[in-house]
Amino acid sequence: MKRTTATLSKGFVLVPAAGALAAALFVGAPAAAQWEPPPPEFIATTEPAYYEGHAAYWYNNHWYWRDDHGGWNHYDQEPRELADHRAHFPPARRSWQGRR
Amino acid sequence: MEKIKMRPIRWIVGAIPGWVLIASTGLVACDNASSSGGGVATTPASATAPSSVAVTPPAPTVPAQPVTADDSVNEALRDYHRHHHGGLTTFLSMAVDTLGLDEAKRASVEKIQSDLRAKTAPARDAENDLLAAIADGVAAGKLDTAKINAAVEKHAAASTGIHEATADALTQLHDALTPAERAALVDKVKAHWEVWHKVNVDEKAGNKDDKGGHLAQLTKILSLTPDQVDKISAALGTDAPATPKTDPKAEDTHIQAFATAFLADRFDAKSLASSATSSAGHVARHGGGRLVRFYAAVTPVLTPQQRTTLAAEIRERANDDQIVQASAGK
Repeated sequence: MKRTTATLSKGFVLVPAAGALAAALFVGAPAAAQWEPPPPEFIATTEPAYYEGHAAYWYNNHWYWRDDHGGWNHYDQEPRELADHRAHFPPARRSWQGRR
Repeated sequence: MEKIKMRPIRWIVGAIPGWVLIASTGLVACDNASSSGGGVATTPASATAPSSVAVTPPAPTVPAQPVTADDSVNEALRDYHRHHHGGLTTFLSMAVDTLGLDEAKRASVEKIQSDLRAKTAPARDAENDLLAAIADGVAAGKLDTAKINAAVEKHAAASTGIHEATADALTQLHDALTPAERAALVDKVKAHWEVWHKVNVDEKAGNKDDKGGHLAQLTKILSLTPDQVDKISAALGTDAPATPKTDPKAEDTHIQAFATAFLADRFDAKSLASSATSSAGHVARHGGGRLVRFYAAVTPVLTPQQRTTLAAEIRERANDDQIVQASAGK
């Protein structure tokens, strides 16, 4: 009985600890891997849409925009206006060489 | 006996930090979920203030169009910046091309852009002369160093008076754009500068393992053999160090000064005079010099057929300003 109690007590510690570790890894790591802002080559060659006072770029299925401090942001849920814009004006890119 | 009785209590006491950890992890997870599910998320690396963008309702479904980071358009841009060294004014003109202005505004801005291009024509012509001189040398099997160095210096000299010549056009451009469009223009100028810096400063010219590098590009175009690649890589060795007349840091300072001035409500071109003077000719000398050094190392290793192909490629760089519409949705 005492042995059972001790085993159960260990379980109360080990299971939550393992769960907490897994949760910490799951919550922390994928945040950076899930999305990355567009690279400079993309910004330099792509026409943005203007929405809520800033230029927004459709990149890897998200709209990205810079805030007043220069940091990149993106919308997880596509704003209706930008979706309408994309439906009528697919993102246009320009190339300075047409041969390759 | 005493020891056995105490064991469960000790484990229970040990469990408390575990449960506290779980509770706090749960809180962090909830916090993340609320910030990403609310319509807008911020870059993890960005130490910026929270955005003021309003939460928006879900949008109607629009077919997703994958837009990739590394493709032929990006590669073409990098190659453009390897061969063109006009600095800020060139970046500005290119930035205007992708501003995404509405029809009404586009006409007036294109007029300003034409004026800007007219003022920079001498520098562009000098650069085309340089490209032609390099192409001639490649075709002949040896670059004429004196002629080509003179062409680099002529291009640098032609770049010197650009700021003064374009000050009015820059003011007109500023006044024609909204604050959001100005910010987009500045962002694009900085993006071009970043790409230019990447391929002309950060990229090691002789690095044969860089799949996006100039040598890899050339290997693809000319079907270079591994032996040729090794020889070119060895000939290029380490990149030439910057000198006071070629240091790109001066252009970086000029671009930062431009960004600050252009984002202000009122544009003061005179505020750029100092950085324009300090940086004049640096990009042309650094980029032109690097280009000459690269093709001087490549030329002796090529077969006559490869030299003919490469000379034609370099001559075509003079036509890069003819903008080509890339496929939409890429």
